Amino acid sequence: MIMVFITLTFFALALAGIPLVYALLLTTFTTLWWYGLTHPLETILLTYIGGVEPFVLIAVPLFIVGGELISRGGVGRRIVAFAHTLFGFLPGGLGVVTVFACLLFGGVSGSAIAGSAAIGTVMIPAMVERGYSPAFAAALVAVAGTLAVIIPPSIPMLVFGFVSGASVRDLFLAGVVPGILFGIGLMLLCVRYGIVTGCDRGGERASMREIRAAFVAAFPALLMPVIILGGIWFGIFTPTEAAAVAVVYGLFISMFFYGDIGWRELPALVLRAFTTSAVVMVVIGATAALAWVITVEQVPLMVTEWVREVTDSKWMFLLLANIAMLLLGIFIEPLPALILSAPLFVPLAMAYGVDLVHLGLIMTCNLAIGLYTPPVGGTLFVAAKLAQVGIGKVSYALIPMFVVTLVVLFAVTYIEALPMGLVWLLR
Amino acid sequence: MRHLLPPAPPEPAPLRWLGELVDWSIVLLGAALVVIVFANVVMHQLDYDIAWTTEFGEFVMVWTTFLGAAAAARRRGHMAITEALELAGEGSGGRLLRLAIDCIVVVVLGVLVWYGAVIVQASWGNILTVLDWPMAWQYMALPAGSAIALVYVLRDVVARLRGQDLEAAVENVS
Repeated sequence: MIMVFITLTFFALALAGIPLVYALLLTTFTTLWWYGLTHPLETILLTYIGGVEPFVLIAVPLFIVGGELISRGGVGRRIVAFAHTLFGFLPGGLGVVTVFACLLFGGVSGSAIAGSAAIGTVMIPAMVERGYSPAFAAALVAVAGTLAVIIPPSIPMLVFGFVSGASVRDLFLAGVVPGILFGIGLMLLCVRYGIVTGCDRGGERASMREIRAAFVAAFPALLMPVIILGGIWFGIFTPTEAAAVAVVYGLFISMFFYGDIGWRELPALVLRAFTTSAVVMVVIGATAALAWVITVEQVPLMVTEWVREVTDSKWMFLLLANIAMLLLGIFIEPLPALILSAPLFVPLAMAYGVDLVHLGLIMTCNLAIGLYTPPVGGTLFVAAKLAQVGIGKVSYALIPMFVVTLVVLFAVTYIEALPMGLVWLLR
Repeated sequence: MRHLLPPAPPEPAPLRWLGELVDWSIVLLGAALVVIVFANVVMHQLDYDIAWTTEFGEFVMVWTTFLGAAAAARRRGHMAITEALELAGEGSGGRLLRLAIDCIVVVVLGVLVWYGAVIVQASWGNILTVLDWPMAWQYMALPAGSAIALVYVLRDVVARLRGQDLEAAVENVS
C-alpha cells in the first residue's frame, strides 16, 4: 500500500509541474507524515546530502565540461569532414556520414543533445541541399544523436553505475558493440533511402591523400576517446579521474590547438556545466532520501515478490522491463527516468539473475529511444528545430528508424553476448 | 564581469549581486575541482597520492551542487514535467497553477533551510578525518544553498502576484 501511496503522490506532484527535486522531497515528507513514521527528518536530509556527495559523481560535471570544450566550435565540422572522405561515395552517403560522425562524436561527448546539435548543424543543411527531405534529415539526426549516450563515455551510464553499484568501466565497455550495431542499422537505412529516392547516389570516392588530410585535422579530437577510454580500461585512472583528464585535454585542444575557444568563454561554460550537473545531482540526492524511506519500509522486497509472482522467466522480466522503460522514456527525459526507476529495477534484476551491467545498458538504450519518441524529446526538438520542420512530419519519417532501433534493442537484450562479450573478455 | 556569465532573468540589484556571487563561487570551486583531481592523476604516475583529494572533492561537490541548485532556481532551470503547464496555458488557470507550484516550493525550501540548520548545529563536533574541518562546514551547503534558492523563488512569487508573466526555464539538461 505504501508503494501505491508514494507512486500516486509523486506522480500527482510531478505531473502538476513541480520541479522533480521538490516533488520527490515533498513525497518523502508526506509519506512520513501520512503513515505516522517516526524516522527523524534530519536523518533523511543527511541522506539527501549524502546522495550528492560521493567522489565518483564528480565525473558528471567534469565530463560535461570536457564534452562542451571539445564540441564547441569546429570539432563537429572536422569530424564530419573526416567521415565524408570515408563514406561520401556510398548511395545515401550524406546520411551514412551523419551516422558515422555521430558515432565518433559519441566517443568525445556523453550527451545526446550535444551530439544532435553539433552534427545536425553541419549535416542537416547539407542533406537538405542534396535533396533529402527535411523530415528525414531531422529524424536521422534525432536518432543518431542518441548514439552519444550509448557509446562511451556516457553520462546516463555514469549515473546508473552510481545508483546501482555496477562498474562504470564495465558499463562503458558494454556500450561499444550496441552503439556500433545501432549505427550500422541506421547506415543501411540511409543507403536504402539514397537508392529508393534517388536523391543521393553518392559522390566521388576520396583519394588516400584526402582521407589522410581529413584524418589529421580531426585527429586531436579523435584521440580524446582513445585517451579517456584507454585510461579507464587499462586501469591508469578511474572514471572520475578520466573526467578531469578529459577537461584538461579538451582545454588544451580547443584553446591552444584549434583556437576555437577563448579564456572569456570559460566561466560561462564551467558555470553551465556545473549548474546542469547540480540540477541532476539534487534529483539523485532527493531520490536517495525517498529510497531510504522506501527501503526501510521494505518496499523493494514487496515489489520484487509481486513481480516474481507474475513471471519466473528472466526473459519475460526483460521484456516487461523494456516495455516499462520505453513507456517511461516517452514521458520523462532519460536522466530523471533512470534515477527514478533504477532503485526498483536493480533489486528485480538481481532476483532474476540479470547482470547489472546488462540491465544498465538496456535501460540506457531504452531511455535513449525516449529522447526522440514523439511528442516530446530532447534530440527530437533539437533536430526538428535545425531542419525547421514540424514534429508531425518528423514522426512519420521516424517510423522506419524505430523499426531498426527496436530490432537492435531486442538483439542486445536477448543475445547477452552482444553487449557483454567485451565485458567478459576484459573482466 | 557580468557579460562572462550566462543570462539571468531581470531582478533588483541586490538579488543580481547575490546571484553573481553564487555564479562566481561555482566557477571557482569547479575550477579547483578540475585542478585537484587532475593533479592527483599526475601524482599517481609519480607513485604519490594526495590524501585529501577525496575529502576535499566531496566537500566541493556538495557545495557546487547546492549552490548550483540555487543558480538553477534563479534561472528557473530545475527539471520538471511541463506538459500540464503547457496545457494550462497563459490564462488565469495557468497563472494560478504556476503560483501554486512556487508556493509549494517555498514550503519545501523552508523545511530544507530549517532542518539543514539543525543538522549544521549538531555537527560542529564531527571532524573530517584528513582535512580536520568540522562536518558542519560541509553540511552548511544545504541550508545556505536552499536559503538562496528560496530568495529567488520568492522573487518569482512576488512577480507573479504583481501579475507579471515569467518566461520558462533558461537552460535544459541531458
